[in-house]
Amino acid sequence: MNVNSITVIVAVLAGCQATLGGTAEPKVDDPLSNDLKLHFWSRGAFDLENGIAVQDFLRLGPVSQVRQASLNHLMAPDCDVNGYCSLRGGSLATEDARIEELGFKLGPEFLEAIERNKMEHQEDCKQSCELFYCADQSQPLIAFDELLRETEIKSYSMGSVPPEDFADSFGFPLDIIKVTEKHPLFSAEEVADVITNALAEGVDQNEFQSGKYQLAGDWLENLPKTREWFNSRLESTLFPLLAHLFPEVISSPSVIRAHSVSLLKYNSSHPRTDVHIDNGVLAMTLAMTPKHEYVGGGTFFEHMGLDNILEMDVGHGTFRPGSVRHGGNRVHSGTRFVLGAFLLLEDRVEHVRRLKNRGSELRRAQDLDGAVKHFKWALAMNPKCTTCLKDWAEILHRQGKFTEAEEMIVQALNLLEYKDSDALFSLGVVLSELGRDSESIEAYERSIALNAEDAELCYNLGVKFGEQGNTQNEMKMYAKATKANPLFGGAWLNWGTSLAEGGNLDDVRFRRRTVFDDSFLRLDSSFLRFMLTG
Amino acid sequence: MFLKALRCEAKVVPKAMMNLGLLYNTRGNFLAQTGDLDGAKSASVDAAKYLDEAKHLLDSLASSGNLDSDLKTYFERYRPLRLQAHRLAGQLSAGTGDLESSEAEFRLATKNFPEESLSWQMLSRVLEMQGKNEEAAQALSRAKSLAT
Repeated sequence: MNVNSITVIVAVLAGCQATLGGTAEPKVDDPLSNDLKLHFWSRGAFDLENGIAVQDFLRLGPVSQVRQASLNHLMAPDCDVNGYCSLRGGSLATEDARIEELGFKLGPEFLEAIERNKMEHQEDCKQSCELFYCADQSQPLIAFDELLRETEIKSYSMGSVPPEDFADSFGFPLDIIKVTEKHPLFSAEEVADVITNALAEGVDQNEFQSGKYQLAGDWLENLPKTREWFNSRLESTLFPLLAHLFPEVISSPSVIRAHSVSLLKYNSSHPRTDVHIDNGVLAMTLAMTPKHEYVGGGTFFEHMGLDNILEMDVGHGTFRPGSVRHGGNRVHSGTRFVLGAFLLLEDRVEHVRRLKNRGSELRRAQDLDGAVKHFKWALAMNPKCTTCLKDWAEILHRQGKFTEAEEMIVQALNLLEYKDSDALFSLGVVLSELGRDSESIEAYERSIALNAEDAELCYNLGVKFGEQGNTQNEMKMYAKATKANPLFGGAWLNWGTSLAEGGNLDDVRFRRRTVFDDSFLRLDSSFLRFMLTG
Repeated sequence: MFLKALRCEAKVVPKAMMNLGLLYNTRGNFLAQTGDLDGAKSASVDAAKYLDEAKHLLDSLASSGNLDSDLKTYFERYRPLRLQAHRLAGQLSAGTGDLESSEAEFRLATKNFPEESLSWQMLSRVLEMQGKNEEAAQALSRAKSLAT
């Protein structure tokens, strides 16, 4: 560069000094973030999960015998001529009386909603029988020993909160996640045939969104041969087994109705699901691939923690309440098929779940008053409906009632013993809104301790660290966020911003800050996610 | 990082482009000060390219009613940032003795931002350097009238 050039530049610079632009920080409360919020409320089409297995978990031992004993102690079994023995704790008569009592308190609108629940339930059950096996009441009971043979059942706790519906029926301890072990329910050869047929039917040609993740797979209604096998197994194995496993709520295999049954395919490009709950009082998962054919996988139960992924080899099954928060754990390589189904009980209407789901639908339709009404009704039926509390809190957040939202989330978290990453995430968002940054960060950190692969969570925590000037931790969080979701643009952008602000302009020649009065523009933390609801 | 953000969700793309524009403008400014005029010019061209693409996307979002408050902030930042990019590009041309290109850059600035005093101020300066005193005076007059 010659001296003249420098002189000219200096001359032009001197002639053109001007103050340009402000540096307003962006603040987000926008339709996009609202869309995202709503997106989180909407369950993906496939909320089913990876398979589960039993392995050698030490933290929760099998205690099902204790529970059964306890139930027997509480209620004398009432066995019918076919051998079905009812051990139900919360009787239908009790529930009807409760609804009648609430009807007086909550008025005719509540009773109308209850009637609508019944109609919808009936319709769902009817549709189920059109696609899936429904047992005849006269079918004789297969003895438990004969059914299981060498298969054993291990029971795990579902956490501190009982299922949303029929909560009184399930006694403590809530060891009602049932997993088969040792001898599988179905042989590897049988399952391999099912997968071969499913592939021929194009199961892997389809894709669905499950929360933030893409999954391959298809509904069994689109896979007739696979459905045929499933129906035969519902009759011979699964329904009788379920009746034995959950006598508290299942009076006979003839009342069980399968719905939303799908065969899911996990691999490295479609690795996992969000943590979620299932849309049925009970749900089951069947492992359809031998363990040696993939790396990773298994089911993450949030209340059990990151170190206790439940794995399940081919032919094994998990049977559990639908309201257990869980997710398909990441498959790193190979392919894993899992068959999942939600279950209804023809003789028991899930009023709490249906009221809550309708509330969620109303919220999506922007009828917030209607939504709150339904959450209140659901909570009147079950004050421990934590999803109702979380959903309601989301509305309060949207209305700017942050203190009330905080109270409601804390109420839910207390019930959940603070083992709910979504509720902790939401608490972090609300506390941030209230300006309580250090508490917000603490909530986010507790959430990450439960679910470290949550991109939005890592992102939001990164933003909070950035606001505090803690760029090292900020960038760590963006790194985690982009690892969890490589297409998370906001995290890439903020990470780049943090680097640029630190003088690292992707080139060692640019290590110092420049003279311009510019601030790199950041995205703000605006994601809000409380619960994946049906 | 910003380049990776370009491959992500649509609403992030103009934001990433704006930051890339700023990044290259910053880089160009730094290189100019260290004497690397070719590098500075290249960075300046990239800055202008990203800013113009960002503006195009922001305009599209605005016309479809998708300009949220966050994007509005970016929208507001476009003008000062693009003016800086014009200034740097014009300065660099002038610095390498290419006063015609410098004039063209500053004329483009006045076309893009006719109500911006700085655009006319910059144009006036480079016209003056070329001895185009009458035009320079007119441009300066325009700059002053806009400044008041």
